[in-house]
Amino acid sequence: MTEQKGSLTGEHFMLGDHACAEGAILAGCRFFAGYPITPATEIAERMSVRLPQVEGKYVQMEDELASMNAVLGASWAGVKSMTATSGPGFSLMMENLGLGIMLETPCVLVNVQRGGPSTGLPTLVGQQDMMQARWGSHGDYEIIALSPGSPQELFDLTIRAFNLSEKYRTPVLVMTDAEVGHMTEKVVIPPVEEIEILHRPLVSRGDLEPDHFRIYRASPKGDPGYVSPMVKAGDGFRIHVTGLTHDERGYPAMNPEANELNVSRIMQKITANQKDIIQLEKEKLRGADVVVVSYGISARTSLWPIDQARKEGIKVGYLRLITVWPFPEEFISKLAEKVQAFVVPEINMGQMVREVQRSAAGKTKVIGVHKPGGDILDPRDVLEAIRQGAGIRQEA
Amino acid sequence: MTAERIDSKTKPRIMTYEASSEGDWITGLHPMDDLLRGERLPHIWCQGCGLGTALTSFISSLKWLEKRKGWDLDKVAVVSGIGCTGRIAGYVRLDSFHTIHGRAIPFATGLKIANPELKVIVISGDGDIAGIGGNHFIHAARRNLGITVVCVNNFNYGMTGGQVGPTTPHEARAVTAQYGNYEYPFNLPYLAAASGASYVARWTTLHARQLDWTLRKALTHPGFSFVEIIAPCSTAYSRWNPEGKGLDPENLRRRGLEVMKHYQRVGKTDHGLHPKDAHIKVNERGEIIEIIEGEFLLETRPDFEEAMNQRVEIAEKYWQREKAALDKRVSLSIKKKKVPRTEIQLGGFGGQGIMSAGKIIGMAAAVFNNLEACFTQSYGPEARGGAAGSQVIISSSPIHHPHLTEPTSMIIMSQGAYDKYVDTLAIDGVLLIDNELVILPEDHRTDIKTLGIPATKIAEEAGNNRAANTVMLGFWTAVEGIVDQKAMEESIAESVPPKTVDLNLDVFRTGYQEGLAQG
Amino acid sequence: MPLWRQPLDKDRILITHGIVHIIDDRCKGCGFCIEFCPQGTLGISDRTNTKGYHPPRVIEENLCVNCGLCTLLCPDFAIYIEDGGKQTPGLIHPVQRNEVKK
Repeated sequence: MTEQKGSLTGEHFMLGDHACAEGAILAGCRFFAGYPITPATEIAERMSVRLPQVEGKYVQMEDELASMNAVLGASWAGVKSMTATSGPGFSLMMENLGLGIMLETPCVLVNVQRGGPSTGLPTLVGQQDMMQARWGSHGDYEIIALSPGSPQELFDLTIRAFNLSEKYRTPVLVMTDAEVGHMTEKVVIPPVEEIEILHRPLVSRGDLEPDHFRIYRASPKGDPGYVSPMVKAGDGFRIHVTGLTHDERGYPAMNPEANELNVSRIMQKITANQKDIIQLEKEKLRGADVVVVSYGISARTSLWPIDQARKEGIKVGYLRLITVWPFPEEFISKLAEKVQAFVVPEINMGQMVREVQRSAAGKTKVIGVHKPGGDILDPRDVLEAIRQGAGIRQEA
Repeated sequence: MTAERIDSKTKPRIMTYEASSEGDWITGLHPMDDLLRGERLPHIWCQGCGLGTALTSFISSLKWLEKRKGWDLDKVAVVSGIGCTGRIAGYVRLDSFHTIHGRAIPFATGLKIANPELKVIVISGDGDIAGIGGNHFIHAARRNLGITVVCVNNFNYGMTGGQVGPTTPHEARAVTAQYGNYEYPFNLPYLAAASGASYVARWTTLHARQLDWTLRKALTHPGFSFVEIIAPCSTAYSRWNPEGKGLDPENLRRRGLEVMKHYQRVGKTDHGLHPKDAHIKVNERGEIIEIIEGEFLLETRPDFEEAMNQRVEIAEKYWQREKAALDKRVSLSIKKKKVPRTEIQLGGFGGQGIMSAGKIIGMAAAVFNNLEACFTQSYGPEARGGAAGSQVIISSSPIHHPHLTEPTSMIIMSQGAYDKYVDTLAIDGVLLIDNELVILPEDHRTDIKTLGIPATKIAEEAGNNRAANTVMLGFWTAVEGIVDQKAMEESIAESVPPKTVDLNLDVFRTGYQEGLAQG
Repeated sequence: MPLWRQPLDKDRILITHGIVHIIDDRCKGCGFCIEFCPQGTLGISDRTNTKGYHPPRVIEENLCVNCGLCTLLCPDFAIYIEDGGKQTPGLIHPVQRNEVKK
């Protein structure tokens, strides 16, 4: 597959959704299966135009179940693959996301979140799928989810999502939203050689006897963060993979011991590599009385109230979760010992705030700023929460 | 045994892989054993189940293709869903994918499209393919995707204990249809053919030899091929229905055999029959009294892959055009100037180019003037027909809040937009209107600066009234002076249709001059 | 064996011959091979395999013509035919169906 051809290196005034598609193309994505849904449609539109230009394949599937599933199939054929959707489609994709996790399949799923529940607000923003991103598919698993706050970052994080998915052999979610997806801003696409692109650890024919290969190999050195290398379909390894609990060959193994091994492998490869996966933006945390913990568009819209609060003399720190899942539990737990309050603005009725509360474990006050989708947060509400966290009461 | 490989292009990383000391277990007791996963045998299927026979026929056809047609079986991938049939993927020594219930076909779709070199075969049950995965089935057929779908139909959900399903004959009985099935079943060959499959056949497992031949044909068919295999469910379905002699103690132990004997009595081969007539007839007790078998449809037309590849040249042309525009782009190398956060509201009615005008301003600022710009537009039903609105924020520092809080600049091109937006304009803000389309009321705000230009008329006189928005842009550029004229012109040249660039630039300058005169 | 007309050239023609191999312990006793063998080569045996089923047995070796139907029909990969070359038929006889009952 061509890597160099088809890069739009330069400065653009670009729609967020299109930036996502360009990021994917640069990351090496050569397969997209999707289903139209506002506000993620523009990603599919752009991919349908761009992929055939770079020897890639675009297919519009019959629904989101099929889209997510076809993405897994393509990944096992050895091609980096992606799909994009929004709320209702995200719900449908949960089924095959679970399969992707169980089969340890690298792929990227972009959720351009809109207001919910159900059909909800197709064109308007929401951040209400954050917990679904973590727990949406049944069973125990760990997930990687990234949250961008601008078209530029949507571009950057789509590339990072591909890198993480390839490195850890797992589906990675990009949890953006209608605001970012439908926003047009400056996007700088760097020269291809400046972008770090990772590929999955792959074993090829000739490396070893095919029948001595194990598709779910445990670490030879007992390293919990070990990621078993992959092969491509058609390479002669005659692999078997199944959504059933399986052993290192991929054969069904119906017993509690096998399940423990299976589940702990898919969880540990993420938990043991948290340091590499978790990316945070930290600003003025040292000596802060109040720390605003947020992500995506809500983090971005909190910057103005943070400035205001600082002008009022409040010591405000800013912690942006670029990686939302796995959650930086340890970091927040330590931070909780030093601050008076956390303020958690998000466009939902309280999702990530629960994680902050859990990590703070009662050591500090946690104030959520919430709204059930439809619009970005009012900066005045965030400012008010910061004041409240600092113990300043607004005169009635 | 250790394998070393460089697995990353940009950052070479040496990966070590310690292979298992144990290889595959091939017993070699049976000539088909080399295509079976010896470790996984014996299989889970009951005595007298038709699935084993379906599998031998499949393996037999693969062996023939390998021997006679030179197939490389390493390139064969088997995908199945959930259910008794779904287990086939676990027994064949080929690349095999045991997916989730109903999703074998889309998984195969991804495999096949991503690597057309693979021969992809879906083998799954009737519940998996016609029930939970029915939608995927008809759509894969519609695409004429180059895969083979083998549906082993045993008329019920066997693995869960024999519940009624989408292929259970009318009046037949099942665990969840103990009073007789009051629904009607699918005729799968007819469904496949109507959906667009280009090869359709049906056999019972009794006709293993014909099945073998049919599978060879289906596997080499270019396009979507569908084979239905009618198979006995010796434990569940035949417990409830007369074909397996029910609970007759004489036959209790060999219901599968009784069903096979029944197939021998009721099977009728009729090649080339219209799939509509390829029925499975039942009597009032739900007992099958006729099964039409044979090869019903064979036609050749471009499959998905071929049809898709025909478009690659057009895609290349698109790419050349986009790349050329990017290469042509001039670098204005304008020094970054200090611009405070400026919020601009554009409004008009649909078709006036309110969106593109906003985007042109944003692009001029962001790409050609080295500023930050954020453009958003109103989506949804309200954006169609009636009022259209778009918003641009320009600043020399990062734009935190992407929505307008209090616009200081407004471009209004319709009365409706005037009514909607004028009150939101900041005190001392600038309101630019098309003064032939907007009539200011008597109580028009006096705390703002209002300037007008007959934009639509100017554009019309220049030969294209669709360029009215460009007139407004020229006017705005001169009055506000936030974005440079040159930057705006570059942005327009890149944004409007190539044939209208000159006209647009002309009217832009007209608007600009008028702005200088009035501003 | 009932009287049956014997072809005059039966000493000159050659027919294929197969050697039946039965893997006893794989058999689940479904009876497909016995019931549908066109030559009536097989019958049920008295042996019990490790699964507790009665596998088939060869009643008359010479009857097998290596058609391979039993190999295709057997759901358990428990029977196959090895090419036994060609031979002149012995006494041509009507096909006798061996009913599966046990």
